Amino acid sequence: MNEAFTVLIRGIIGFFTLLIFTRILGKQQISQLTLFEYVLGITIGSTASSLTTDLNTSAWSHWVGLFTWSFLVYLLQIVAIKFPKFAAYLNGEPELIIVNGKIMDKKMKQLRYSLSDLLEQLRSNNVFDLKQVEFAVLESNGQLTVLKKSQYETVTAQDLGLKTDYSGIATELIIYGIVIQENLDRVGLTKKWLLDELKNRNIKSPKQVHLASLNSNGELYIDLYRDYHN
Amino acid sequence: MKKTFKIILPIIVIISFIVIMNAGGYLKKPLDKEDDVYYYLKAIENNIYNEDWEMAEENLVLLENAWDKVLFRIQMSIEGIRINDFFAEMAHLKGAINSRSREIGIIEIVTLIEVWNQIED
Repeated sequence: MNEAFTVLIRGIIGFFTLLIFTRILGKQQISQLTLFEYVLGITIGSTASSLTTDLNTSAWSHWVGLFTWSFLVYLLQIVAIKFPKFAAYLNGEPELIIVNGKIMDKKMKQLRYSLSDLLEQLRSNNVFDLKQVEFAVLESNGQLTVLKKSQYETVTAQDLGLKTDYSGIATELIIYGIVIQENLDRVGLTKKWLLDELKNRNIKSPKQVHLASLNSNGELYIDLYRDYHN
Repeated sequence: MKKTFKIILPIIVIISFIVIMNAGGYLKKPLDKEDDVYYYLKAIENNIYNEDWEMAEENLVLLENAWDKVLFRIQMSIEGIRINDFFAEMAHLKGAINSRSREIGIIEIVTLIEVWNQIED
């Protein structure tokens, strides 16, 4: 038995199966996962790893395990959308830790959430003075969300009564030297326009461009692989 | 068309993987006489019962060759432990044939046939 070859094939099967299943399960930032979801991810990954290297058992049994866990996560996601109360039961609910500037010590004791945890998470929210906090919510994923008192919030254009221009999302037109025609069409521009713009900046070819993006004001940002011009 | 392709491609990939992982039972079937493991197992069983040790030795060599061919095809979908069992039992059988022991030979060939049957049946 050629173990290396078998591990290679099983590794390919495990890798792409995991890729497809996690793609179906959707995108979530690691920082937004609850403890359960985090542990689920580790379990699913561990199963994929066993599928690859555990040659004593069949690949199929591990694959079925991988499918079962992924399917159950998918099912939970569907149920959580259709039955929000069930989602709250599963994941827990956000809890108010600070209300109108007062720390809810009984609630903290109930949640086994210490003062040092609170102060640490306040600091990671750039809050170093408790007097600035109006509300603080401990989310179901363990993150702390802070609402500062209005006099400590940063000033916005609206506060100053200033009018601002619309600010949209920049559109990438060249990535790694390749022109993204789909994006050009979306913003109503042509490749000829783009090449002319590059030519005006002494850039001979899109292949010299690492990244080119167009903002909502029509300004083109270009980053080259190397500095070809001043 | 692009959206259909995005849906169909992962489905095809998953189905291919399922086929590869479950094909062992089909791939162990012989393509020709040279990789007909079961034929050589039964031939050796017959040789041992008749105490025809020279033929048993010859058929054992042919069995090993046939097993090598089949192993290449089935190794992706079969548990490694069953493959190791088959190798171990073949070694026991070789010892029994070399020692010309009918009783041990029968035990080993029956066990080997059972191990073969358990491979992805």
